[in-house]
Amino acid sequence: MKVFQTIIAVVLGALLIYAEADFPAWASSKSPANAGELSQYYIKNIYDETLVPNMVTAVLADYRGYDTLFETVVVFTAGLAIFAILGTGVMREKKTAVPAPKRIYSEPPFDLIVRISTRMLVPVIQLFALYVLAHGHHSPGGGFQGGVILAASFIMLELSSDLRAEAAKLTHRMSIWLGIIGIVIYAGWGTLSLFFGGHFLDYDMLQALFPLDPLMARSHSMLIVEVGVAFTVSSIMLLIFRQLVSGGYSIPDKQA
Amino acid sequence: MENMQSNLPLIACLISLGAVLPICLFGEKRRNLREASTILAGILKLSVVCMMVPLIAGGKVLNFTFIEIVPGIELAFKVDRFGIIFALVASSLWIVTSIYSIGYMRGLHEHAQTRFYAFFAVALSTTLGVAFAGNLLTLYVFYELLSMSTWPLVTHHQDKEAREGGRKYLTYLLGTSVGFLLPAMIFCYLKSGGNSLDFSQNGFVSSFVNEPTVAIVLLLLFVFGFAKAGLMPFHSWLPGAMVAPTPVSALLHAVAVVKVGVFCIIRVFTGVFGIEFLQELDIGQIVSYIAAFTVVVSSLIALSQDNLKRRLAFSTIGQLSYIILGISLLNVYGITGSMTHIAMHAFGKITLFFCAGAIFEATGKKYISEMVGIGKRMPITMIAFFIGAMSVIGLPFAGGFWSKFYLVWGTIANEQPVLLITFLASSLLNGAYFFPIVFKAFFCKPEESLFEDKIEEAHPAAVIALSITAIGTVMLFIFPNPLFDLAKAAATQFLS
Amino acid sequence: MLQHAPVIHLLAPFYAAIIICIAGMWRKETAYPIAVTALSLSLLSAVATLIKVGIAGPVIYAMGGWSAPFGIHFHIDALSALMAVLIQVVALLTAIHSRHPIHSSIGEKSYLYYPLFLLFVTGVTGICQTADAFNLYVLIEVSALTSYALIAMGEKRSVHASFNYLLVGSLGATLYLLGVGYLYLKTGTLNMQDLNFIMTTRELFSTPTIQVALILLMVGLWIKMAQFPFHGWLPNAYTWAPSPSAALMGPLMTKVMVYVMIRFMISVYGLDAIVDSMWTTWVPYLAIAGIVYGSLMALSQHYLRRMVTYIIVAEIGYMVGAAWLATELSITAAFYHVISDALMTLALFLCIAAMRVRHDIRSIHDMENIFKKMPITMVAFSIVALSLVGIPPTSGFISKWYLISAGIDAGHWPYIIALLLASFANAVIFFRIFEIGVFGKKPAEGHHHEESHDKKYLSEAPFSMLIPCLVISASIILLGIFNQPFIEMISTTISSISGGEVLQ
Repeated sequence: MKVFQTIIAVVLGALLIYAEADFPAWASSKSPANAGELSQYYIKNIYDETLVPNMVTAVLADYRGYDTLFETVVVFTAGLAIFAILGTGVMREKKTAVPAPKRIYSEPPFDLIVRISTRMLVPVIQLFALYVLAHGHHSPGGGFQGGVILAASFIMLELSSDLRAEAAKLTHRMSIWLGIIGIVIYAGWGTLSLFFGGHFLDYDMLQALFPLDPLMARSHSMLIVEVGVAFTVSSIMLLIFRQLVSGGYSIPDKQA
Repeated sequence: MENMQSNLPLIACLISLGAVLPICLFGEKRRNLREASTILAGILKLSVVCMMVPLIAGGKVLNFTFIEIVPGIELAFKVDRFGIIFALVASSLWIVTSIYSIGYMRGLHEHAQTRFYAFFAVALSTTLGVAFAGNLLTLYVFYELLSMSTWPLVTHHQDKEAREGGRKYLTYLLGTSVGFLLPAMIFCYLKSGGNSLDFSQNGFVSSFVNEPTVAIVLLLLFVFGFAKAGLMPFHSWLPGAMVAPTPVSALLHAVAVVKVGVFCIIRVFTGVFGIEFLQELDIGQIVSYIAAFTVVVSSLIALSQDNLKRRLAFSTIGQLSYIILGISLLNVYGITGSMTHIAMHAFGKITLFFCAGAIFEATGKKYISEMVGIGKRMPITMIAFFIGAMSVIGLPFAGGFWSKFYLVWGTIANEQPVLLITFLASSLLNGAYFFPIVFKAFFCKPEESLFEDKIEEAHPAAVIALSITAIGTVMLFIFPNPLFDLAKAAATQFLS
Repeated sequence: MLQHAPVIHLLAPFYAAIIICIAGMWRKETAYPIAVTALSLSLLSAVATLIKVGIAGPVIYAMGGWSAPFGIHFHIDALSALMAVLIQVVALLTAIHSRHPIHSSIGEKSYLYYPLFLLFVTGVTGICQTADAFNLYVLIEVSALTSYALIAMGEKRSVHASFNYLLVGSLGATLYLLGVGYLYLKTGTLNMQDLNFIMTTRELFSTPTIQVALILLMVGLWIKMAQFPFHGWLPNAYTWAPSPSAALMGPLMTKVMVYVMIRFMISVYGLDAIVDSMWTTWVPYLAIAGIVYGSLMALSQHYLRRMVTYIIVAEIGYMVGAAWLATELSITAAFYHVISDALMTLALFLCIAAMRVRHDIRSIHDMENIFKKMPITMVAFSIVALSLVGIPPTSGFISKWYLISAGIDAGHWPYIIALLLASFANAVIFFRIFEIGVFGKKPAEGHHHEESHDKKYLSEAPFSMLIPCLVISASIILLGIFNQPFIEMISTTISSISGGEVLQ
């Protein structure tokens, strides 16, 4: 069996190397990806059409916003899937506690330094996350990145202190809600343009809502959808973490 | 020959299908009503077919087109003389068989009678579909549907034998149709430019096949593809199918299923290839010899069978090959003979099967060796048997005489002594395996007789049925002309 | 509003999924009606789109208002529209059917099951409509993720099977992505029509990168469509999944991947680039291997679901073989078979589920006297069986007709023989089932004479499961008889794409 697998790996590698012979030079400005019609168009026209200096964000959130919507859906689906497979399916935490098995919920050892320093860092991290989200138009950043940092901050908090107590503050139901809200923001924004006569996700049409010029409307719409993405990504990341750590059991009350 | 649009073919075909609903609804609880539906449907069907006869005898061809199912080909009916002959035979014998079935099934207290009658009706629908088919694809569709609808009938008894018989049935029939027929048909379709598979005067194969070899292969694919015709070596399903209740064996394996097989082969010869084309390439001979071989071998095997139904089965195989031999002679006598033999043999064989079933129902005997002296007990049955046997052997006073006459004449006209001898020899063999049965039934010493001396026939409905068919056989001898005129006109048309 | 029809049948299931997530938190019973309503709506929309495409030609819908290749386009021609309708039909019927099984097996979590169900539908619909190669990948991801979850919510070994599927499926998707990446590398664009244009004008088809891209794409897709020898994930995945999942994904997931393969073959690469290459020589043999393997394995199975999964593998072989004969006729045949087989697979899964619900039938040997117990379901089952064998006038016969025609046309006799053998194998499989269903496991030695008392056996499936079975069987026959409009639509589209209509 191992021989078979080795052969397959070698064949695949050989194929890839064979193809590489033909690649354009590394980072060449003449390669089709750079010099092609598509990229040139983006380079020349993005700022004029959307007033967003960060080309990557613009392509991500506007030109190919449909892709990003579904990427967000993928994240949401992953969370939903884990919840569906692992979870007990109980959304409403009952007042009576659901006892958790002992092996899960490892209690991290109490360490004063870790706990205090984490507590001090977390607000800063969260602020930074929001910054990354908001500043995605001008510098590397955006919804995904911001959302992940936000989630990481919560996870850090939970890891460094009493997991149960922290986790109880943001229940499963809340997580899924937030995830849904994120998607609804994104897809809803796109659907709004349908009602205004444009195509799905066509931000142009929303200038009726904003008393700004059409280009700013695009820029702001991008921010809004990025916010949606951030909602979803952060809450689902947290949900996945919580689900995996707890093996799917509901967060029991503190008294349990 | 003028074409005429008509709904009659469709109606005739669908009547029995429509009968399925009342049959199922009435079920076993109201079985008299159920039986009445069957018979009523049969009478209706026959009447519609008879309505078509004068039109067709007058030279018209009735058309009905349903829908284009493949580019260039529609599901279509096109009723000509040949088709109507077969349809007449099938529908008239359905009524008789239904009467017989009532007697047989009730006499034996058979199970699942509703299912039996329902699938019987469907099978008759598909048989008429074959009879009326206007092109090769429609023929194929109904051919397959016939195989499907007769399987539950063959496996009716639901015991181990039935299962084996059913498996053999399907293996042979589906195997040959999907393996030989389907590719051959699609090949013709593609090579003829996707135009049509209509049965036409001179066939459509000639438009794309020139060499004899390709033509022979194609012809054999078709001939063996229609395994319902029982040509060796694809004949084993027939004796295997004898596990079915006798009405099934009678109608289906004397009339519907096997005649569909030879009907299709005749259609292939006349409509797909065209007699002229076959004559030009002189490839009829191969089929003749295969058929001749089947005739002789099956008759010999029949001699060795002690189970009456099996003997009749092998006899059927032989008789079917008569028909195929007839058509492969490619002359007017042969073709006429084969067409009429479809009818004659149907009547004769069905009588024989009815008798076999009556004997089983009345006495429980299946084996010929047990039937010594049965003539005393069931005289009507055995006289009918005698008449049926005469028809199959081809003796005067039974209709088979005329059709055999034509077939023999056909071999003479072609100057083929081998085939002539085949016919004559097989007639002798037929006599050899039929007469002893009759003889022993009637003329045996009182001590040898295995039966008491009183008359105790089978269920009256069964006896009525077999008497009707026996009388029919004799009538066909006395008044052969309507049938023969129709057949000869059809044959001449195919040849012109 | 009609001009937005292409998006409606994408968004309706999507929004319904979200609504069910929310509403289901309060009342679980709302999940089922919402799902069915949404799918009905999207079916209407898909049919409207199909009609529009049939009348006016391909529909192009620009997402975000950007024209291709700068934005993502929907390029909906007859093939896409037909797939969309097919997907909605399958999804709707499965959703209707799912009430009972979900209630009895998953129950508590049904408000999570239906959103995943609907998101899967969204994913595959999106796959069929998009004209952007990378967008296709994103939607493959969506449908794949949901399918992993849908499968894992089953019984016993389903989680394990789903995990296997996850690993293999991710590998397939990765290879696909790599292939797309290579294409982008060489051409600088992701839009399918644009790819074709650039590759044709710059004559890139013979470059190593593009060739390797084709290999990667195809192998990736073959993995996802369970073409032999990459089929290993399929039997376990669909055997242990909950019935509605199997019924939804069996017909759709693999067939949609076949659609993608055909799409790449004709729209991105173009038939001219493929014909007479090594591919058309060797791939049909791979397909033949799949057909033979699938048929033989199916013959040896007792568990009904597992048997159907191997039949799926064989059927995929039909499609791949026909597609890679690379003539217009053969691709038409392959596509028609996609539709026909999706319906047949759905019908099989639905009937099997019906039998399981009422009589806990899982294997062939449990099916004694099934014809008496569930006559109507078995009528539907018989029709599907006849279609798989290829008895006219079902759609299975028409598929066989076209597939064999394509084989004769291309002169590929081994393929035809494989097809015929597979028909025989199917006949054996299904008539064996009929035998057991009619005769019982051990047929009696003697001759029955007693009357059967039907009434006490009769225990038909619930209506919500029975109606979809009947609808599907009827449509199999109807699709067979009235196949001409579809065949025409398909072949016209394929010729116009291959005829060099390069769209911008």
